[in-house]
Amino acid sequence: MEMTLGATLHVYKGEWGLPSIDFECLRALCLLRFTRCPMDVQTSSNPLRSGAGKLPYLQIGNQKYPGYRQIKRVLDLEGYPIDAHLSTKQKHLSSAYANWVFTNLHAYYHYFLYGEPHNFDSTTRGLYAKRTPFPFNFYYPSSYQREACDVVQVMAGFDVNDKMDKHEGDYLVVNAKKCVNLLSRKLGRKVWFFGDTYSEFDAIVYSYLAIIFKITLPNNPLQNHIKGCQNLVNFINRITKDIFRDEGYSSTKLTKTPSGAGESLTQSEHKFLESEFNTKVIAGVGAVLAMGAFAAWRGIYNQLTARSSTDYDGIDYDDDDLEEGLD
Amino acid sequence: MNREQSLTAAFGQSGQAAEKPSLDDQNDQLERPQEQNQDHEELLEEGEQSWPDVVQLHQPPEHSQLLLAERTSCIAVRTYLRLCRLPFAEKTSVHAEFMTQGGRLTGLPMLRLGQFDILAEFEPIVNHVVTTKPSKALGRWLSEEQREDMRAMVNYVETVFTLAETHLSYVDPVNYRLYTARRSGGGHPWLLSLIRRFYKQRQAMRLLRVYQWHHLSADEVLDEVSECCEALLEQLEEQGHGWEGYLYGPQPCELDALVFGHVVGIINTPLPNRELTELLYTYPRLVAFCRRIDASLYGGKLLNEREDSGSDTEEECFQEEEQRQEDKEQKKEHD
Repeated sequence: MEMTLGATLHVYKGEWGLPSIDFECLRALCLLRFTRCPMDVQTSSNPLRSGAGKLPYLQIGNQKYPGYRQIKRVLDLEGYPIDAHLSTKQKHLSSAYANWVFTNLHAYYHYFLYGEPHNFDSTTRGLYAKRTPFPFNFYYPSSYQREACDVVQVMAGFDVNDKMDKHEGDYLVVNAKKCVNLLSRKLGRKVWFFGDTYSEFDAIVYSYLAIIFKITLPNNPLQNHIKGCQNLVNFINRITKDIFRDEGYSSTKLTKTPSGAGESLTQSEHKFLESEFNTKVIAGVGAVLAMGAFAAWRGIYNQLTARSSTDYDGIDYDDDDLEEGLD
Repeated sequence: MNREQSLTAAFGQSGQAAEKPSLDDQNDQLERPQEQNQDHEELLEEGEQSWPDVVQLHQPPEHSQLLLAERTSCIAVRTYLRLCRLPFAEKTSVHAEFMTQGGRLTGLPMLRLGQFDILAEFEPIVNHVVTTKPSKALGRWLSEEQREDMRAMVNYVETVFTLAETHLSYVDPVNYRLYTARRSGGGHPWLLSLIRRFYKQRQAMRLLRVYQWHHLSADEVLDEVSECCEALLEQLEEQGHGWEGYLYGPQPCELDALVFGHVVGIINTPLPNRELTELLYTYPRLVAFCRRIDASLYGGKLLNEREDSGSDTEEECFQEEEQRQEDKEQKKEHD
């Protein structure tokens, strides 16, 4: 069970006490932390570097593994399998129920977080944009919206780009509520869904429910429904506080309140302002060179050289006239 | 309106729909929809609705248009309705895929109940039967927990098998060129068939992308299918009825119909690349289980076209497996 040195998992930073704002990143983090895998987690990541244009991705040395499936496969091979303590029957049930939860909650998650225009523009886009370095924060949040369009088209049968009154969100909400009721029944008073030990199913359920429960969206009918299931709320809070004690992040907890202008700057812009002296010197030299080039283009150097050439031309003529006069 | 009428019929009035004594008569019945067979009065339980007289199951033509994923779904629905002993008429329609609405995977087959109700795909049809005819629906003897487990398994099996079939039909280049491309054109003139072909391929790739299967290689797809088959085998063995039981007890349930539909569809369909069929043959107990259902419902017609590579009956499979386990134990003792 050798863990290659330098393994890092790149995810989006969290909010509301959660370690990440994104479902896939949260699932991958659960895989890591449930199995107590000693790997670094990097939260200021660039999706462009992942090779697939999406977070999360795992970097071991020079190799990159984007996407949850590949990360899970790598962890299984490295000796940190998440379903290690389950019996075969429980593993099969876990796969079956994970698929069932995916069928019911995936469409809800994608529609209410990315598909619904009001939710996306007011909350989700800002969340993702603040966690993506400039200038990619203009592009990558919309890629989630495009993906949601596909998901909703396949699983719910309507197009997100249609007008609001054609969106059949009720069907998604009803299915999601039934799913939450079933999950609450299945969990009962147990600590984990399969008794005493964690499983991939716990990771998936936690990832969906924690985000839907904690996110502050204008339109989120499932949030109150989850509040009504006390055992699920306890499940979410327990995992957040115990397992993700170090990674949970909440922007309202910052003691230093930044100035009004500072709040609108992203992390990369903050870094630039506080950068070292020699960077500023290089920036100054670059500015001078640029001004010089502009001046050359405008012809200031031509004027300077033109004066010297007239001096050279004016020397001979006067002497010749004097010599002719003498003869 | 239909619901109100049938509810009043249920409460003490004489039933309109009659139980068809045999499935052979159903075609005759449907040619004369006005005549009603008044031999039996159907006893409807409280809250139940009567099964309409005119029930049609539409699917595209098998020899020219039907794709693998759609075929398996159609066989599964047919098997389920036969197990429930609910009468229906099978219709072949060239434009069946345009008639359906709803359904999250393939959208076929389409069941038309009476004049207005249209349902597509296995799960919605099963849900409809369970809510409107609970006395005929399968799986009544299961406990609540077992029924939830079975529903989850139905969803899982349907997803895995349909996605694997779609992957095999559209992503595998040999299959796509020789089998799927011709059939997805759909019997239209050449330009329209070309456009339909591209449209269906885009739809299939979108389906695979949503379920995050688009980047899987053929081996990984086969791994997923074998995990599913192992789960089914374990469920079969857990029942402990030897070689006479079904997946959730001594009587068949909807999961049996679904598994039968997919396994038989895959084995029976002449694809150029038969990796999935060969994978299924490595689970002889599953194939023998399907053969048993085939013998009881279809008279063995669906499976006897292909020659199997292994035992014929489940009893022999069971004995073979016991032998294998004994051999393994003997080897361990020697070591």
